[in-house]
Amino acid sequence: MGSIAPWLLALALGNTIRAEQEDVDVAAVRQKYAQSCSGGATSEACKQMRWQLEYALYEGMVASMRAGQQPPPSAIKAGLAAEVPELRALALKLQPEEAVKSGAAVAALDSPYATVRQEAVEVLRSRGDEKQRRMLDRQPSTKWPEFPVADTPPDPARLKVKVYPGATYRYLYSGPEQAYFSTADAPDKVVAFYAQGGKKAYSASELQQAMKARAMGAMDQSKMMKIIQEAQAKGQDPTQAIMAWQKSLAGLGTDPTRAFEGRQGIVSPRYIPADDLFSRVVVVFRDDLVGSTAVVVPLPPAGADSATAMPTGDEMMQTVARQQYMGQPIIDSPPPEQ
Amino acid sequence: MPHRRPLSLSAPGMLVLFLALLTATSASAAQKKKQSGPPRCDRCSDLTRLQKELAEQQWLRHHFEQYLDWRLPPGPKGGDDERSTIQRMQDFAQAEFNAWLHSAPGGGSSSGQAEAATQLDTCQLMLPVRDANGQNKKNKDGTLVMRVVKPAEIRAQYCPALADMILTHEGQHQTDCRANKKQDKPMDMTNYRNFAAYDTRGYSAGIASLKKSIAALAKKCGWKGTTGKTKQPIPQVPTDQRKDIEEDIIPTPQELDALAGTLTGGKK
Repeated sequence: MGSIAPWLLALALGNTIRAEQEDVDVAAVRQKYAQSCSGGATSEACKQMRWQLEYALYEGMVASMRAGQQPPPSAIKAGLAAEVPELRALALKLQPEEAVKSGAAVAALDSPYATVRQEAVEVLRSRGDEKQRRMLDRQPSTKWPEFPVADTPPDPARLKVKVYPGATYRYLYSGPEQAYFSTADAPDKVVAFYAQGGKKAYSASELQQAMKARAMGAMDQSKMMKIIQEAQAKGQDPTQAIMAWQKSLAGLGTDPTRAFEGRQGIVSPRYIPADDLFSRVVVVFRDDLVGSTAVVVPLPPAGADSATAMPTGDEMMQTVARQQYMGQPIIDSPPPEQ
Repeated sequence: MPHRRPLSLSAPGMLVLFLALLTATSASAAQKKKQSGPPRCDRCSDLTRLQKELAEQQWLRHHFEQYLDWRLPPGPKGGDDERSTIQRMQDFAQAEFNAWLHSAPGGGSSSGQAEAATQLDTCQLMLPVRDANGQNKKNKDGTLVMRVVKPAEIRAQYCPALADMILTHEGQHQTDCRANKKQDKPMDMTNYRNFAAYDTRGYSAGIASLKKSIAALAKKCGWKGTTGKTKQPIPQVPTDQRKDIEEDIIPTPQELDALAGTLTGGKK
């Protein structure tokens, strides 16, 4: 390298991170897996080996299909029960009838991987019965990633309400804007759980009135003066204290009843605020499309809870510049050498 | 998928094995000589690998995109953590990426690290310096030890589709870096959100290049279900149309059956 390419200690501007593909000795892994992971062993080592074998089966199935060979039924069966999402989605695509008949398509609706769920949705839309097709209408319109990544239920800090005991998080009906849980318990029992401690379960009109009253509270000059005086007494910045108070009053910002009232299959929704500031509202109803009791928590945009103060002028300028920058054209081939 | 078959080790068998090894060694040496230069990824069987690469790059873009509006980089690990906010963000991205690679969608294997970069002051293309184990060397503050390179060095190291992807990714950084220098008020690149924006654009460019390569190879192989969300089943290509580009071993139904049997515990 010498003088042409000197060794440097430099601050890099953007790296290309990529994975080094490791060759897996499938025969050796198979043997080890068969020896040490029989009977459903769930150790981390067994899981890793299982994923490696499932991925190898996926690659093998794709290769054999391109060669004009239909994968054997045993491969489809293993695929329908696979943990590796690429394999499971491929098996659903290849044998939709078998997937519906065996219940694998309905089971795949609860996969944490959107790529698997969407394949199951396609299968059930074209080959499922009426009840199964109706279940699909509850999905929110969300743009899911094209690559397989496991969705996770929102953490307690984002959810801000307790999960109803025994309720199941439903990936298919959840998304960035709502967490959807289902339970076999009756709606009244669920409402009683969330109304513990004297909380009120509102109808839609009652909730709207309560939220309006809370918004009026924001106009209360005497309350504002009290907050300023308290902040000054504690040696804090009064402007920040007022901003924090106004932010807390903002709550969800929109009427949470809109997504539920008059919607198909939603029976008698009731709304239980998680706190006096309406930062979260739990919505409980009988869901005739899904066939169970629904517990839904509408969510604000990610990061809305952690934003502590209003952005400064400089931050606003940076945001605008960044947005303009992100709108600039992108290249799709290497530029000529300069 | 490698295929290994047990060999008989009787006396005549040993001779056969010796001759086979001898032939294989010279054949392998000849092949090595013939295949000097960058690795290949232009066979139909490479499509699956390129698609995995695409999913990985999409995962990385998605990760950096989250810092544009809501995600915060992790805090320092104790008082002696000298890494910058940006370095902590990059290290976290790499750790999360590796966790994803070792989970089910990553196939439970492989690991990731920086392959190339663009220098902030000069907008030059750089490669990380690696230790004997192939791991990137780091400075005390967590930044990578880098050296300036020419694109030809990357082209010699990677197959054409991946070299194009890396050079397009870094090419976007170089284009953005030069454009930023011409601004009256350049973007503050010590701001992690601005840095994430640069990274996101780099990944978008690399992904666009890789999608083009995949689409071209898929067309050559007569395979439509590659880059788009097409509902087409994977077509079966007659062998006579694939001979010139397909060299890999295709697993037999029996081999797939055996592999599936291992996964299902032999239940059919």
